[in-house]
Amino acid sequence: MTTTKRVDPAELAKLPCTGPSFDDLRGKLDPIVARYPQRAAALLPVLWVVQRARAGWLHPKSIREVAEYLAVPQAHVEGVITFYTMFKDQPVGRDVVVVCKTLSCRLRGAQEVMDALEDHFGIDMGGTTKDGRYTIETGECLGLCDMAPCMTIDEERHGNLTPESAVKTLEGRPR
Amino acid sequence: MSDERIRTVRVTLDGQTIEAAASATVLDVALANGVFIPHLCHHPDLRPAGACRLCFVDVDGRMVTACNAPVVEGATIRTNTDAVKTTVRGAVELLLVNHHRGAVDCEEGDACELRKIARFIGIDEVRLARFRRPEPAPPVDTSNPFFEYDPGICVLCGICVRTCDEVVGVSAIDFVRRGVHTTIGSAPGAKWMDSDCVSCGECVVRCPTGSLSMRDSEVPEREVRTTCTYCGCGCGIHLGVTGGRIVSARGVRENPSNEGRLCVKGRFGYGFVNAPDRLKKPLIRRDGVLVEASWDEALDLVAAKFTEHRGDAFAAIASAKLTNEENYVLQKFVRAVQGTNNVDHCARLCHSPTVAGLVQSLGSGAMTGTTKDLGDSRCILAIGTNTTAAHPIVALQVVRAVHQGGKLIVINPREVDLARHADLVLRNRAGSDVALLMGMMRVIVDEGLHDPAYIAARCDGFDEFRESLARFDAATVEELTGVPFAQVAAAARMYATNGPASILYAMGITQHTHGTDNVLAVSNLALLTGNVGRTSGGVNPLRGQSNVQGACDMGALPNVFPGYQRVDRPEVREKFERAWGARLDDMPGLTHLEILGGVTGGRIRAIYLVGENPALSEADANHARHAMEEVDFLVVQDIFLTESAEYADVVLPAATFAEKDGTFTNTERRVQRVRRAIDPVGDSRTDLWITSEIARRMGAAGFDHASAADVMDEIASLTPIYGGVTHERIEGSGIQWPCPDSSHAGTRTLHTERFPTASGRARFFALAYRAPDEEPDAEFPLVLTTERSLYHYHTSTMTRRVPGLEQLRGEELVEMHPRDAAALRVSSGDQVRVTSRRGEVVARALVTEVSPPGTISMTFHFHEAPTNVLTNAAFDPVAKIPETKVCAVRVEAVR
Ligand code: SF4
Ligand code: SF4
Ligand code: FES
Ligand code: FES
Repeated sequence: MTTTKRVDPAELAKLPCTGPSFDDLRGKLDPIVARYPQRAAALLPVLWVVQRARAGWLHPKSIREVAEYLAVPQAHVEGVITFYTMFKDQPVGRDVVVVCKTLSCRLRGAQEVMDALEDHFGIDMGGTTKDGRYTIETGECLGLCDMAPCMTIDEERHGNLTPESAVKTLEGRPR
Repeated sequence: MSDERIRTVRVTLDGQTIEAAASATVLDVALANGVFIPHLCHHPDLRPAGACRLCFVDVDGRMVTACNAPVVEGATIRTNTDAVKTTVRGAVELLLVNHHRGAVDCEEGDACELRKIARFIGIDEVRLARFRRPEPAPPVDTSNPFFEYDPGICVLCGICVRTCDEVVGVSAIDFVRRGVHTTIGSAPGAKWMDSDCVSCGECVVRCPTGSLSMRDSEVPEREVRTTCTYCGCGCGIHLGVTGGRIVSARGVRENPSNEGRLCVKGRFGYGFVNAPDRLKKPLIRRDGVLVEASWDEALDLVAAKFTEHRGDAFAAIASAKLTNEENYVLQKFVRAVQGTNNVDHCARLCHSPTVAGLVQSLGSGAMTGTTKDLGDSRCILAIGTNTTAAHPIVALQVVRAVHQGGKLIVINPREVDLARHADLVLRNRAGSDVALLMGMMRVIVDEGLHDPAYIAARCDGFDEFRESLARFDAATVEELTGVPFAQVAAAARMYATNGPASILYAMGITQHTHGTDNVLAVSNLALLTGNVGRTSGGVNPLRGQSNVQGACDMGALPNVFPGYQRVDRPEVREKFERAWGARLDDMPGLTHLEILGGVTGGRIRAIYLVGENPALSEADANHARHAMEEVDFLVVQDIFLTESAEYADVVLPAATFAEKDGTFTNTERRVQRVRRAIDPVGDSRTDLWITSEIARRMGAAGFDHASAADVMDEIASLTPIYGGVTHERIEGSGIQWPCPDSSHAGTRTLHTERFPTASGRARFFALAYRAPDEEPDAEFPLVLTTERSLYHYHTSTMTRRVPGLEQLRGEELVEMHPRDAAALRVSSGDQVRVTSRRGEVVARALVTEVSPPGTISMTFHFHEAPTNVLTNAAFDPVAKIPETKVCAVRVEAVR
């Protein structure tokens, strides 16, 4: 079964917004904002902290709260998070895996790696594993061409992959 | 700065030598000289963006985008080199292949700038076809009742995004997603309507491709330039007419009040004019029911009855929706024919404290500045005004001031929308404005931030006023207002040190039992800092209805003739007696509330109610309904069978603003033309005709004006502030009063040299705090404050007949803070019952932090939930305005 299907955006607001309340996050956010001359300038790092604290994605409520907190229009926040691939406006697995699909990696077998992951987990690229553990997607050059083909798992780097080693790496990590 | 604007430079444009303003861009210069440069993201109202990359030109051998390149002395500009042509062609082709429609056969036709550009360059559609995007266009967003967005033909010029930000200040939309998937959007999964969009349509009228387009739009056969009927902003509009119907509206760019901009009501709210249920025939009550009658029958009956009820048993309620000419004739009828001063109108319920207060302190009860000049204020203090909802076009100037670096201080119990642009937001307890303003003034005086030279030269009463500040120490002010004193002091410093500073205020200041004191506190503050008489400074009461300023100017008030000339001054009275050929009463008449109140004691026996709906608008509305039921003879003259008309003995069908000639005077004192676009619907008639006809049938002379222009001439001859106003002179941009004679150009800023008081000087007033009449207690623990919605007007007789507006806001909502909601175990959408000492109303709750804890708010637009049955009719002793802004209520869930 694949869980690649995106949640209908109109339904997103009905999903629970898990993680700490915004007030509890302020302790972390205020010092970030203080580093910038204007509140709005802190948008990217603030979104990143909120995303990480709240199940790895930005619930519509998070978007609203960040917009209010930084006094920027909501539409602007939406523009930013839909521009940067590392911000998620859809629920994701516990960890996000990005398999590089750019030239160097492709030349060295990235497609095979992707196929293997799709077969093994029974999902399409962009989907989330049934157990909710991984969201596996493709990305542009990860800057790891020297160890192509490669992937990242959240902030860990894994290179010189084979189809087998990719599967094994994901299965072998502590649950 | 100003030098820069007039400095010119010489450039060569495609071989021609041209002189141009140094502040111009290359694109401006080219377009002004008839050289077309393709451009899509440029709009004269917006800052240059350089986003579409179509406007490339060669300047001294370098390729630059013309829309954001300033002209420089001696530059050689070439728009047609091969390199320019190739670059532009490439850019246009890229846009076209990303476009989901062929530019040549697109049904948007010539409205589309991209199509014009493609033709100008000469595009080979066949060659491009194979590069076109294969996937189908994303669906059209039709969520807004008035317009739709088709991402398939959007060129992402960003004009809509920038309009919403720079012009409107809402920032509802932005570019979302990335690369080829980029569209205009707002929030995950959100349709246009789910965003913060206020449906003003400003983005739609600027969209260059028709990607944003009006729904149900019709190209009119002809257009008539007139003035919007809704609010006191007084926007110029072109009404589009086909046959006998109004089919479109657009802003008049040359109009100085709105410069082409409109709000949702002005742009889309004209549908009521042709609503099927317009009153089309006079109605007479026979055996308890209203039945159709002929004009002759109805007018003869009215004339006979009014003849019976001459003198002080007669009263008329005029309307801020009528033209100046109509109000003038109406009050003339009451005074000269009926022999009483019992004439008043809804200004009593909104700005009577302004007239009473500012006349005492400054000598004139109107906005001292202009709408446009507000945008150049260095500081704006907006107190008791929800400007974006009630005066949308004035709010645009507030946004402009903020964008120019001006400071904005918002003082309001509710977190009104303007708060998001503010540098300081003070949320005081409802009814504590005197304490708050006096607290600010104490800081200003203590810290020496006032303007002693101005005060000495132009004001009286300062010492006494200064002593009264002693009562407002930090602890008292904090306790009365609920605002930390540090914030009060910060606001005081910000206001006093950034000039010119403008104060904006509206009903939040006036609708109190101490409304006049509030107004005086405002004028004290402005005088203290020397701001009155300065351009972009001053005191700016925002007047509510399209012609409420004019109705006051015309003397639809019980104590003054036109032009605020008092009825108790013998020399004034003699002037009018001579002009009107009648003996006039020297006793001021009854006010709005007193007229309705006078019915019970038998003092008032006949009421002529013109264009007003007290059944919904009056505080303690049940009492007003009762009075209308009781009075011997009630004539209602209106465009619809309103809630009040149901009580009438005779109903006279009136024409709307679109069906008459005349003038409105907007909030900035600008007298502007109202022009007949269509003939009166059905058998309806203009109010001017109806009132004159009643008077004629009563045998009165002086009611046979040939036209509205003729009436204006009579007004000008008797009203010094309108002395130089004629229809002919105001054809173009209108004239701001005072305009004493035909050589005078009108007055942009009031009081620049002297105040129109006897001494020529302004006056400070010593003030004390007075609590609202009704404070919460154990039985009624919450405060109810009334407000209004952007989408409706007054008792919404007109706006609720526009389906789109009804869709945007179709019911009353009781707004309450989450804390109060939790205590009542109520969530948004639940039915609640609101009860006061006077009545009860059921409506749904909306839980929001916009409401402060302990205070709920409701509008008064909806007859299903008539909020004013709750409100308190206790009134201000001077201005006689009821305290609609504060009353004590209890809320319970209806389960
Ligand atoms: S209609 Fe007005 S508020 Fe809505 S998006 Fe367009 S400009 Fe903004
Ligand atoms: S309602 Fe007021 S702001 Fe809106 S268009 Fe009419 S006059 Fe202008
Ligand atoms: S191409 Fe894959 S890391 Fe650079
Ligand atoms: S008009 Fe110059 S870049 Fe768009």
